[in-house]
Amino acid sequence: MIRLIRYELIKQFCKRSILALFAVFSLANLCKIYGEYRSYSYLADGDGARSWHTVYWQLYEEYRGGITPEKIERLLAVYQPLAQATSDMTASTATDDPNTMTGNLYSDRNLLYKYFVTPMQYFYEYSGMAEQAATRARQNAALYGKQGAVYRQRESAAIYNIYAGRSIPAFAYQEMCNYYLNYDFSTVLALMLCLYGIIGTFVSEKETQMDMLLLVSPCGGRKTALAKILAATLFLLFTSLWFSLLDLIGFAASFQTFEGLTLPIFAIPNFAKASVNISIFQYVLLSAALKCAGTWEIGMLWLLVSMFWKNALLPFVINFALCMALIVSGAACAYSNFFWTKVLNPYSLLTNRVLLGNTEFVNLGGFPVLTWQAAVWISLTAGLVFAAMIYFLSAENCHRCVRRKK
Amino acid sequence: MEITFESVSKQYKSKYALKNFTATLGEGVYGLLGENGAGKTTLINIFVGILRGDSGTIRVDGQDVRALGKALLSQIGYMPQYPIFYRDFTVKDFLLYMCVLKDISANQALDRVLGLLATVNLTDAQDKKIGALSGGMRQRVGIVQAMLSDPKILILDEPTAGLDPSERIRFRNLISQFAQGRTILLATHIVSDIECIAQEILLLKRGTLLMQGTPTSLEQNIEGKVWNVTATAEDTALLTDMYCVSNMKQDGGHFTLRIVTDGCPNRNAQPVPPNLEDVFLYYCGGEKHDTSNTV
Repeated sequence: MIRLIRYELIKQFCKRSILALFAVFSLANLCKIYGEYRSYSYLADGDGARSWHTVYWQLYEEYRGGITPEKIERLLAVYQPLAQATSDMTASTATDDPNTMTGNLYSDRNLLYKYFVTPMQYFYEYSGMAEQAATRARQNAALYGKQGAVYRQRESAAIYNIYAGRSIPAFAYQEMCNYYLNYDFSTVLALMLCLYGIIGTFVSEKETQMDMLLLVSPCGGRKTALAKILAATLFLLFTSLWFSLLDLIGFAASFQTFEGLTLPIFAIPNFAKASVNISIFQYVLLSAALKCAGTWEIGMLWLLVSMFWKNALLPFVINFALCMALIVSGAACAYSNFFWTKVLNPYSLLTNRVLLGNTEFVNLGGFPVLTWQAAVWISLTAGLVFAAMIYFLSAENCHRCVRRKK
Repeated sequence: MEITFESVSKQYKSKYALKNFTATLGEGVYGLLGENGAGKTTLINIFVGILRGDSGTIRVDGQDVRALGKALLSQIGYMPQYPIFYRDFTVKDFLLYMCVLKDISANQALDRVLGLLATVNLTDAQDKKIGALSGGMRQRVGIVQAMLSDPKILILDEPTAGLDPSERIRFRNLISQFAQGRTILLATHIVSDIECIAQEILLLKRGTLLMQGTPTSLEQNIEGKVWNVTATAEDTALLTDMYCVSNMKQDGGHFTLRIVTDGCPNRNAQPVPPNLEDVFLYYCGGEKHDTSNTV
């Protein structure tokens, strides 16, 4: 079977066109990431002695690490006079003021406010907000318990367990992680690449009339179909993982740092209500795994659709339309209160912050299950069902079928 | 090895693609001859398990093929009609992949591939991409892949389609070379492909087996039904309309026609010994004579 899978990989996925597309898409992705950095980060202003980039990293050394009252006082001691001096907008607008860090008072204030004061304040206050949410959840659980609303009670208890004890003990640079976690372009590229790779898996055998030879070979038929499913699975997983890795490397290279990966995920304001208590690096791994699950389910669906056609064009169009429908419905339902729409759409797993960024549950047999967990199980189950359908619906030599029935 | 077909039939809606096909094949080369759409590929596809027959039984050495399953497939070498294979694979890689499909161990595979490539004179092309091969070379790759598992039964569906005469002769010689100790079933509508190498010929028409026999016995069947007629241009047009003409040669202002028909077509007609092409034309070449008593 391993030899069969190896040949299927060579046959279907090591084509020059796919490798070229891999290279082009990877390059496009890196360019897009660099574009994000250049467009949105204020630290992308070069290496000059008074650039925000240089000043930020000098100051960062002072404030990084555990958040202590001394650090906060020291920061406020620098920031508050600046804030006061610029509050009435009458301070000097000179851009070469030697008494400032960046050459301008307003610029100094803005740098400190955006990159130190705001995040530090958010980090410092987060534990209080989390504690509040946990307390409210505990009270709700008690109330629902009295009312006999068992599901609601369990849901509140689960919320309590998630939020109790949450805090962000250390300060770190989180801009790179913020952009990385909100980046989706590579998802679309990976999907397109997967679609292009997958579509020929069965169709190319028919186009070359190799389907006949496969059927008449002792290891052809369903054994080959299984090898195709496994090879396609490897291709889908590799593509998904490759773009996840490329995103991380691309963002780290563009922002020139890996800082912030050890922060808890809820240190990113978009993820304040995240349903998981893990570090950003762990989140990166979890996100990659979820993307793999979603990509696999969609890939198996594409494979199933494509196996009934004799040439690649029509299934490509159908699968592309299917993909667009999933993307559009996924975007439309991302912030819906009817969580099942997200859970059932495998595209949610690809842009998984809609699942992981909020603490939301679906009711499964009276038990609250986090939407991302439900989505993973549903995706894996659906993928397995599709794979089984591909296996059993694939052509088999008539003589073998009869033998099996006997 | 003996292959027995017993009343094998296949119907598409109300039309029979194969009707009560009954025949027995032993060792040697068997030519399955018939016009396009006669049911040759249907018969082959049913035998190798690509198609399911509606009725009838096929036995190999007395055992029903449906009970043999994978054991049967490992005894069959099959070359489909118009194989394209994988254009991006080199010849060697493609054949090694076929070894995997045929469950040939990795140790034996390379020796087997190189040996057969040498036999068909393709050693120099082993690293060429399949997409870069000529039609004849590709057909030779086709027969190599069919021979990889050293099968007892070799099924070749229109193996010479699209080949030039020299490639066709080369391919024919290869088949003869591989015939020792095997049953080879070669489907074709080109008489010259099997005339010299087939031990027996099965003549199919519209899904029905018309005749089975050695080329000589088939030719004897139409002894006295092949005529040479010398005619003018005007008479030639008339004779062509009325009779099956297997050959026409211009000789000065006259034409020499080779006519296949039951009765003497012309006062000047001279009976000549029939060949296999005449047999094919007599049974499959149209409705200009009566074939009802020959089935």
